[in-house]
Amino acid sequence: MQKIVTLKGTKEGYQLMIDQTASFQIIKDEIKKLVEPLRKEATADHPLELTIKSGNRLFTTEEKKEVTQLVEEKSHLKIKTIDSDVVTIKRALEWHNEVSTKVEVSTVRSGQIIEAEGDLLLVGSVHPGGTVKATGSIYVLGDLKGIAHAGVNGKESSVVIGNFSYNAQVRIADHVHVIDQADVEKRTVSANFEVVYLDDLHILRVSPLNEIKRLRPELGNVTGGLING
Amino acid sequence: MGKAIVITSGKGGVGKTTSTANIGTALALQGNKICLVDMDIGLRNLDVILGLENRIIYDIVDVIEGRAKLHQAIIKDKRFNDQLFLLPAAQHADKNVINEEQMVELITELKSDYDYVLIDCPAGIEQGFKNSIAAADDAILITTPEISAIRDADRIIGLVEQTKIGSPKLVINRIRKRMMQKGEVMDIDEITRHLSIELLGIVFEDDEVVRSSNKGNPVALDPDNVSSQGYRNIARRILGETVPLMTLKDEKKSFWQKLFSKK
Repeated sequence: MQKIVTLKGTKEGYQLMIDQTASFQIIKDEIKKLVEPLRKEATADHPLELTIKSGNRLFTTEEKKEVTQLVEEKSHLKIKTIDSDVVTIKRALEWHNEVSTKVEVSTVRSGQIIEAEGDLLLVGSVHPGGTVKATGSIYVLGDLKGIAHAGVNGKESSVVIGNFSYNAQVRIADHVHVIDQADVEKRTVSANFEVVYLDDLHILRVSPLNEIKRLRPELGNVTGGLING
Repeated sequence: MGKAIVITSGKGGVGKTTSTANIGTALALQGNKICLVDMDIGLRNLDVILGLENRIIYDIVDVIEGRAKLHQAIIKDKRFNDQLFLLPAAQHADKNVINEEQMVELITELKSDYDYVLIDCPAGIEQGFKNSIAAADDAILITTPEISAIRDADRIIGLVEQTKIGSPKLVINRIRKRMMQKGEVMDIDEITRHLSIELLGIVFEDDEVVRSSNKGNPVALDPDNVSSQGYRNIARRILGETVPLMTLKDEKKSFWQKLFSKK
């Protein structure tokens, strides 16, 4: 029969597996029993890191605190994370919102503001005085003549992709770049899609689209990214 | 300490915003430090006429609501050597987000830094108008030779005279020489007498005004244009110079001038 609480050593470090069907009180008792003798055997001079795996069970914040306290008080172990194989629907939806691209089909007129969680694909133009905002990146399939503000909550890896042939303004997180028609004419590029990104020196740059793969390799890979907790 | 002048008209479309941009430009060309304030919240235009639309990062509502400092919202016009500045209006709010006290506080702060603060008033006599008037020391009333604009101007004079500003100064805008010569519209004397306020200047209608506004260059930058001269004369009168009024009469060209002129 499987034990309720199992301590394992893996490649990633020590793991404490907790049976998902046992009651919380039993788990606490079992942890105490398991951890207490360990202290006497402690040889390392710095605390060992421990990951707790709770299986298909979600601990509440209080339960997490209790477990952490219990382990850390009774032993020289330090809890790194408490992982679960499941998430709440609320958290899942948030995650879905963060990583999915919203598609908005409309013309953004003067004074209008379109806001999106995650990435935004705008099918339509942004007129002068109009604003599109997204917590992630912004892709504009249309003429950008207003303001495109990517990474509004401070995500500096966001980019803005669009046709920058008009006077417009691009913002990424707290940084602002004014696009002037005069500068565009100098480059003698006709209606080309380009990417605006924030470089390592925190300067907004405009580059041809073929640079994106090199600049933002993570772009377009909508997998992972969910941090439990 | 500078002076705050509100530019108002009552009726829309008579050229408040164009006049604000051009009088501001003309004053800046005379070496004054000017701040233009767009009060038409929700329907801003002054930034477009000055060609500064895509430089707006913060606006007047951001300043009033504490999201930005005043100096962050003010845009410098690069064509002028630290002479002309713009405080843009917000586009996604309405005129009721600001009240008169906040406006007075804001304009007082601006007056300490600039020689002239020109306030571009929105059309109508609602909150936007009240805000614009509240902080001004002087008023310029723009009208055209149309009877509807003159009616509205008369109403505005009444409202402005009830405040500490007193009588506004009159600018007659968009004068079509031919119509006025033929007597199809009220002439300058009639309008001035009817409104019984001091005449500050006249501006002739010219296609170049619209053409240059579309490009984001105020026409007052062009020294040869007839409308530009009108605006430049207004600026000089504001500065206290005595400038004679431009005449309505077309200069009669002699046969030889006609023969050799470009047109």
